[in-house]
Amino acid sequence: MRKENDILKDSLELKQMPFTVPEGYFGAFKEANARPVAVKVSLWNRIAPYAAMAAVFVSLVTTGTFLLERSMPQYDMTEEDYVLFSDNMMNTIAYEMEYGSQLAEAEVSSEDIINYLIYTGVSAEHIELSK
Amino acid sequence: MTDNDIIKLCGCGRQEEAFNGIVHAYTERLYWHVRRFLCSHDDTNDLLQDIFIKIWTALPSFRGDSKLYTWLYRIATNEVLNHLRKRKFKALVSLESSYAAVERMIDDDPHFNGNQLQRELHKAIQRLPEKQRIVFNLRYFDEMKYEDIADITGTSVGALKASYHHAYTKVKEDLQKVIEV
Repeated sequence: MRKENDILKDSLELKQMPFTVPEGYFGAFKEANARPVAVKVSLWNRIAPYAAMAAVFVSLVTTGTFLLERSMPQYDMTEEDYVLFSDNMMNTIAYEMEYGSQLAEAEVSSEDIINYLIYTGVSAEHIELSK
Repeated sequence: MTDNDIIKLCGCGRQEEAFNGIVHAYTERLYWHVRRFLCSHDDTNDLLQDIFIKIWTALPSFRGDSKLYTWLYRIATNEVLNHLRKRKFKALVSLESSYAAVERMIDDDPHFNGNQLQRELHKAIQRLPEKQRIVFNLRYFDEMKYEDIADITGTSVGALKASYHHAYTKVKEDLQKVIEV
């Protein structure tokens, strides 16, 4: 019966390690590593996780603010709009603060007063009586 | 110092003495285990130091559930695999295949002291897929039991036997081709 060649079994030198090490390497290695060294962690390595978390937080806030501003409707109010919307102001003091000086400076004619009285429904007889 | 002595020292909390025992008992074995994968002495030396740092860091968590030597080999093998992955990435960047780089390393190694057949054997081993390479090295050179290799790699004995069979056949065929040429 013909025996099949198996080079991995037949060549015994193949199991030997063909690599070598520099002379005295293992002795020196054991000497140098026998005492466990405290694994030195640099300052940056210690603070890196916290720095990363802070960076993520800042970027989230910045991006969120930017997106919020972009999603809000942009509306430039004209002076007329402001006057229009000021009627809806709950606090009239603010209106006076804004326009008080203009009101004081405005000259109110007797015609304006009459128009106002007519508009508010005050009768002419009533005005005559009050004189 | 035997493995039992080292385990006892660990159990007593005498970590430094246990670590000292591991360094003295296992430096050579772990060195050759790593060297078969990396081929280069300098890379092996650097990685071996990292492995011992890992061992020192992990030593308090060693409970003795597995054999000491399989635990050590598992740490070393994981470090080797990480190193090989980094090497692959570097090869990708440099546009040279990782296998070509290792082949060049074997050819240019000043610490290679074997014959041509041995050189071809180690080149053939480098061509094997990662898992087959691990099984082949541990089984062929270290003559380790499949149960222990399974403990190191976390693979079933059946799968390891199949991997070893494939690896063995491939390496044998590669060497036969070299001889025939």
